[in-house]
Amino acid sequence: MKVLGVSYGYHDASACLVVDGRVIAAAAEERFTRQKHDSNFPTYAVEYCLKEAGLSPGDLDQAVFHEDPHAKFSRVLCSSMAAFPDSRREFVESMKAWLGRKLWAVNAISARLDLPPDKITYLGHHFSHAVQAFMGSGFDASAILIVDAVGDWACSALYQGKWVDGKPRVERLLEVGFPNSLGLVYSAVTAYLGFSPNDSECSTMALAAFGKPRFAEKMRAILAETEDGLYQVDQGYFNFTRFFRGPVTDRFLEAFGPARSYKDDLPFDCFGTPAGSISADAQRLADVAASAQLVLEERVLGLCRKLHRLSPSANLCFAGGVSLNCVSNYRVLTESPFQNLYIPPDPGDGGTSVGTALYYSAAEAGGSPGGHAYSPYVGVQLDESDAAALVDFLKPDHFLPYLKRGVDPALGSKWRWKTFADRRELCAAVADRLIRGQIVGCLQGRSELGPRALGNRSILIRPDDTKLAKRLSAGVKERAALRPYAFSVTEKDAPATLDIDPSRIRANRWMQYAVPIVEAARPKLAAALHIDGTSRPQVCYAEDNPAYHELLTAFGERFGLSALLNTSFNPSGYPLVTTPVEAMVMFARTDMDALMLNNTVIWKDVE
Amino acid sequence: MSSRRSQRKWYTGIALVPRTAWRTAAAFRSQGLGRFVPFVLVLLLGSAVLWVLNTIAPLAPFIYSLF
Repeated sequence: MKVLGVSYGYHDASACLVVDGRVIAAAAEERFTRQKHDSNFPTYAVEYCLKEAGLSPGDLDQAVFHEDPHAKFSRVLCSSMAAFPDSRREFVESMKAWLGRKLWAVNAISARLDLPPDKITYLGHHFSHAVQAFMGSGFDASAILIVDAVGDWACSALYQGKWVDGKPRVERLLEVGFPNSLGLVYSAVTAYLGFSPNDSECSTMALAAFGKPRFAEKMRAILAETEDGLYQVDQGYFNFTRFFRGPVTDRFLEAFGPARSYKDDLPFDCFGTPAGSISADAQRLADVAASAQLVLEERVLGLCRKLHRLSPSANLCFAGGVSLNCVSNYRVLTESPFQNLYIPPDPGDGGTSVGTALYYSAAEAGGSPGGHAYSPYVGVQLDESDAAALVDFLKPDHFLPYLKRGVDPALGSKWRWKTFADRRELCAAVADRLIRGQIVGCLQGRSELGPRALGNRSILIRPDDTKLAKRLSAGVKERAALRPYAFSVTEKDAPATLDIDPSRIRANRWMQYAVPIVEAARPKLAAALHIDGTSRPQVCYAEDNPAYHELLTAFGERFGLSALLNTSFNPSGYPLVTTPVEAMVMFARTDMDALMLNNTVIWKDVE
Repeated sequence: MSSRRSQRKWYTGIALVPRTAWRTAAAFRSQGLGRFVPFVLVLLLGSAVLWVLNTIAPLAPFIYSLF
C-alpha cells in the first residue's frame, strides 16, 4: 500500500511517502525552497518523495492531510468573532486566508496530485500528532501526550494508543481547548523577549538558564493549574485573538516590565558573561524567561501526571511543538511517572506527514508495534558525483563578491580537494583537521528530518575549544552568544559524559534533551556546554549512522573522547542545506576551513 | 507533477465546493456552534462567487488581490 502524508498551511509544510508500512522518504518543503518554516503546499517535497520510490501520483493508494480544515476554520471564525469588534482586522485577514485558500485543502491536494477526492482523507491535527508519536515508538501500548500552540480546537491533548489485532488504535482521553495554550503562551513570551515567535523559542529556553525564576508566582497565576490536574490561561495577559495588537497586553507589561526590542543588546554569553556587563533590565528579561520556562515545565509535568492517572502505562509518547523544548523534555524523561519516553525525530508539525501516512497504512493494511520505526535519515540523498563535478566547476572567485562581512578574502583564494577511496582514510584526514582546530562542514548520506542536524548536514569542531566556538558563532553561524551548542558522542563514550541513568542514554539519539554533563567531562566539552552545565547530546549508535559513528570514533582516537561539537549546517535564518551547491556556497562565503562531501574533502588553501 | 493516468474528473473542483461547505457546517454543529452556520454559508457563498469571478481572466487580478 502506497500512502502519501501531506502537511501544510501554518508552518513547516512537509511530505512523506510510506510504502507497505515503511517510510521510504520524508522531507520538509523548506529544504527545497530555502524558506525557513515554509508553509506552502509541499510541491517539491512531494515530488522528491515520489521520485525516491519511482512512483507517480497516480500510483498512490491514498493521500492523507494532517488536519481537519473544517474544524480549524470553525475555531478561527469563532475566536475572531468572540473578540469582535476589537478583532475586526484579525477577522478580515483570517477570512481572506481561510476562504481564499486554507479551507479548500482537499481541493488543492486533489488538483495538485491529480487524484480523485475519495483518495484523499484527513485526520484531526492533534490526532495526527498522536499517531506521529505512537507509530514510530515501537511500543505495544502507550500513553500519548500532545502539547503545542493550537491545532483545530485543542491546544493540549491526552491520548492512549495500543495495537489490537495487528492494527493501531489511538483514542482521545481529553483535550485542553483554545485559547488555553502552553505553546501560545511560550511563543508570546518569546515575542515579548524580542525573539521571533514560532522560530526562536530556543532563544527563550537558552536565556532562561541565565535567570532566576523570581516571577514564577506571577507566571503560575497566569498559567494556573486547575483542580482536575490540567491548566488554564488567564486571557487578560495575552492577545491570542487580537494578534495585530501584539502578543501580550498592557497587563502583562505592568506585571513583568517593558518588552525588549529585537535590536536591544542581550549581553549573555554561554561561555561566561563578563562580570558587570549585565544591566538590571537584561537580568529582568532573563528572569522572565526563567519563570516562563519553569512554569511551562511544571504544567507539562502536571499533564504527564494526569495522563498517567487516566492511562497508567509505563510508556509515554510525546509530540507537538512544545516537545521541542529540550529542557522540559529532560524533566519529563526523569521526573514524570512514565518509565519509557519516545519523542519522534520531528515532533512538530513537519513530522505529522510521517505519522498520518504510517497510521493510515497500518490501519488499512495492518502492521505491528515494531514494524514502523524510522530514523531521521529519510531525506534527500547526497549525490557525490554531482559534488565532485561541482568542485571542478565552481571556483572561489565566483563567491568573492558575496563573502560574509569580516571574512578574509585571502582565505578563500584557492580551493584544494581530494576524494578518498577508503572510508577509514577519509575519517582519519577529517579527524586530523578537527583536532588541529578547523571548522569542518559535513554533508553526507541522506538529509535529516526535523530541525536537528545529526551528522549528515552538520558543522563540526572539536568540543573543548571555546575560542574556536566563538569563531564559529561570529564567522560562520552568526549565532547569539547566549545560545549554547550541542554535541555528538558515541554510545561507548556517552556514559562517561552524561550525568543520567544509563537506561535513559538511548533516548538521547536525536538530540532532544538538555542533559547535565559529568563534572569530569566538562573541560573536554567546554565549547558545547550551557552556563548551567547542561548540553544537548546526540548519542550516536553505529546502526543509526555508521558513517558519522566512524568519524566520531576516528576523532576519539586522537582526542581521547569520541565527541564533536555538532551544529546545524545552515546560514543564519535559513534551513539546513540540502545540496552540495548550497553547502559550497556557505563554505565559500564563511569562515569554514574544510568541507566534507561524502568521500570528498575540500579545503581552503591559505598558503 | 504529472500523473501516469488522470484519475481526477473535470468536475471535481466544483463538486468539492459544496462538499467542503457541507462538512464545514457539520464541523460547526458538532462543536455546538450551529448558530454560526447561516453566517458561514453567507461567507462561503461570497467566497464561491469570488472564486467563479476569479476564473474570468480579465477579472482575476482584481479578485486574486483580495486574497
